[in-house]
Amino acid sequence: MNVDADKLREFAESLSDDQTRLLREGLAGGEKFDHDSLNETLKSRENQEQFRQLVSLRDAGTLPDGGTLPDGGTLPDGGTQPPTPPEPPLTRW
Amino acid sequence: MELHEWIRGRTGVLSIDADFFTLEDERRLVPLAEDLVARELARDARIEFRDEHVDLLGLIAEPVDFVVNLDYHMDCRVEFLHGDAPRRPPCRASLLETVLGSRLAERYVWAFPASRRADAARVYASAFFAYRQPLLARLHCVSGRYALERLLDGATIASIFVCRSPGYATAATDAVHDRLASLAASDAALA
Repeated sequence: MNVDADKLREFAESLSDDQTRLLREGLAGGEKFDHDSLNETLKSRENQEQFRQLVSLRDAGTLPDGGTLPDGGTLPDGGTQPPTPPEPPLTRW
Repeated sequence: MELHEWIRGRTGVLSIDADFFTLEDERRLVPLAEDLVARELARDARIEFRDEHVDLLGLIAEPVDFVVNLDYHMDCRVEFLHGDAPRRPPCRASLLETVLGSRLAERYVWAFPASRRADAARVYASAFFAYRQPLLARLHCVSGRYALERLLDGATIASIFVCRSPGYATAATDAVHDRLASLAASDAALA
């Protein structure tokens, strides 16, 4: 990623307290900014899986308009869903 | 700035997707949700029940200060958080995108189940560093318990929207939906 550090800092300073807390949790760095944790965050298994799914759907031509994640209701093959799933899927952010 | 301070004195919409109560942790919050709904109905909040979450958009006749959405899902796409333009229904994963992108609400608060806290934080952090979505500053992710216990104190809830989300419904989430519907019916009978 190539992001202007000053703009990013300005953005960070504009966040509300809850947003800042969430960001810190996401970085797993607590009060201290931790580059290594961020790197791990971006490479997390969950993120990798999400991106893999997106890429495979795009490759398969099922998301011509940059559409939704797999359970977002646009599967062209009418992908079946159980009528009463035990737990909602995680991927419909 | 703390979100509960910002929200105090402002007017918005409380959205409750029954699938928020999918897991046991959240089902323990049902009494809190019932208390909140009863309190706001007593203050003349309007309440609507629908199957699909996107119907919430029809309820917001004019821009509001906030939408607080108790939901298992954030209702947006990862691509949106990473900079894509907002999409509109019938894309099911577009509620947040529509609310923020069309300025129907100044701030959107996703009140998430406890089990999704780490997911929310990771995705928010990755979107922050991608720095391609200016609307991210108007998106908040807080725990459902915090939203029910504290966040809305001092706010005005103009409308409450409850949806069943049949695609994710279970016997447990339907039971919560029915309890809220009974509560609304009782309030209407008293009026």
